[in-house]
Amino acid sequence: MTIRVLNRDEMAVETEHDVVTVRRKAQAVAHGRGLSTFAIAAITTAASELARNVLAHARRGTASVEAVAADGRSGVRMVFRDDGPGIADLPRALAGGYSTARSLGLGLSGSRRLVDEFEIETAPGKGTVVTVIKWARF
Amino acid sequence: MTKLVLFDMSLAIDTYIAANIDTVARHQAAIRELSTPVIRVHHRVLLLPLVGTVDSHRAEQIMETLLLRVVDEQARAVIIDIAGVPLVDTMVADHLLKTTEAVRLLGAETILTGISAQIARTIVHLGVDISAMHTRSRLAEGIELALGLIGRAITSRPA
Amino acid sequence: MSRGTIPILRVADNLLVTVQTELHDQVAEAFQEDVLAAVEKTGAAGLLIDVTGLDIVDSYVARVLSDTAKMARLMGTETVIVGIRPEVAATLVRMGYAMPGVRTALNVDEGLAMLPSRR
Repeated sequence: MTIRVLNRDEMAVETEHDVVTVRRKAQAVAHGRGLSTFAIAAITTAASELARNVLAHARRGTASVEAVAADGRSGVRMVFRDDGPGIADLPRALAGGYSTARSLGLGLSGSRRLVDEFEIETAPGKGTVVTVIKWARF
Repeated sequence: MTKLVLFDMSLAIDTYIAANIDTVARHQAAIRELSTPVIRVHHRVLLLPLVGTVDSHRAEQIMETLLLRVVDEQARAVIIDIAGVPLVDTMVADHLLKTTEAVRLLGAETILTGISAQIARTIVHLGVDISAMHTRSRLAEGIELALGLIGRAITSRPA
Repeated sequence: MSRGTIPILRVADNLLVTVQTELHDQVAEAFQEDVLAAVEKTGAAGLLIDVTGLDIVDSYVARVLSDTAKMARLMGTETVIVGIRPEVAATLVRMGYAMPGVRTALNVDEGLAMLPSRR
């Protein structure tokens, strides 16, 4: 499956305000791609969780929000990238085991359940890259 | 030049696909309506008789349709009758549980009916915790319970 | 009574809080402080939080809401959250956070009917 990128916005994630900016961008792109109200809420919430994760664990990073198309489907792809400490125990993080003062530890596990595709690249000391896609359904 | 032609081609294909998506979308919407028939049993009481196989995709549609209807009708109780579902496995039970939780967040209650001996056995053997759900074996009992939630009752007319 | 972002109204024995703006972190913290200060000051029997205006509730905001309800309960005030939107309910449940223990109602009238009265 080839994914074509129709539009791409890259944003810094360094402050609480940036989390709101990323969330609003995700919402606008999802709306523009014709996602349902439920799918828009899902991808926007995932954007919020993942951007907040960047702040909580790496303090700063970037987020890109893309309008994508593949096989006649339209969707939203988001990539969250940071150079933070990385995740040592990935299975536990994905199971919702980690929790910080600011979250319920649902950042990764929760957003994974909200999207159609979820990919994570991480290693201790190597930072973290999370890529998610939500497709429009008919 | 080749690149330009290819670009045009992909545009043409996109336009073609977009035209078909409209038709497909209409069909899908019709199928969704048929597969999730939410019936208004009484003022503020909804019934969803589930028939056939429930896969993950359909389970999500069921939840979404039901939640929208609960808010539209300001329903206090939702009865989900699963007598027509041939197989209740962990996935189906889990989806029913999630739907119940979501309906509760809106401020309404879910009653699960049509639970056969077979389904009851499966649910217990699977270890699914359904203590948060109202359950009844028969639809009629579910309707009585739902009416009770809105302060109504079915009574016999004096002879 | 509040810092202007979120209005807190008194309805008989109860407090009615209508959340209209997006609850990003600072607003969420101010919201919790303001609401609890109002609960303390009025000794209200019940607290109604209307979230009809929220189109997004992430796990952080969900936690602020449910913590506020727990804190109010410790002060003897029952909380009901009203007006959770369908897409918000579905999202929270899918994430695995259905705000356990928090009471909910479809609308303000039903929420008020669920609350006790001190009179």
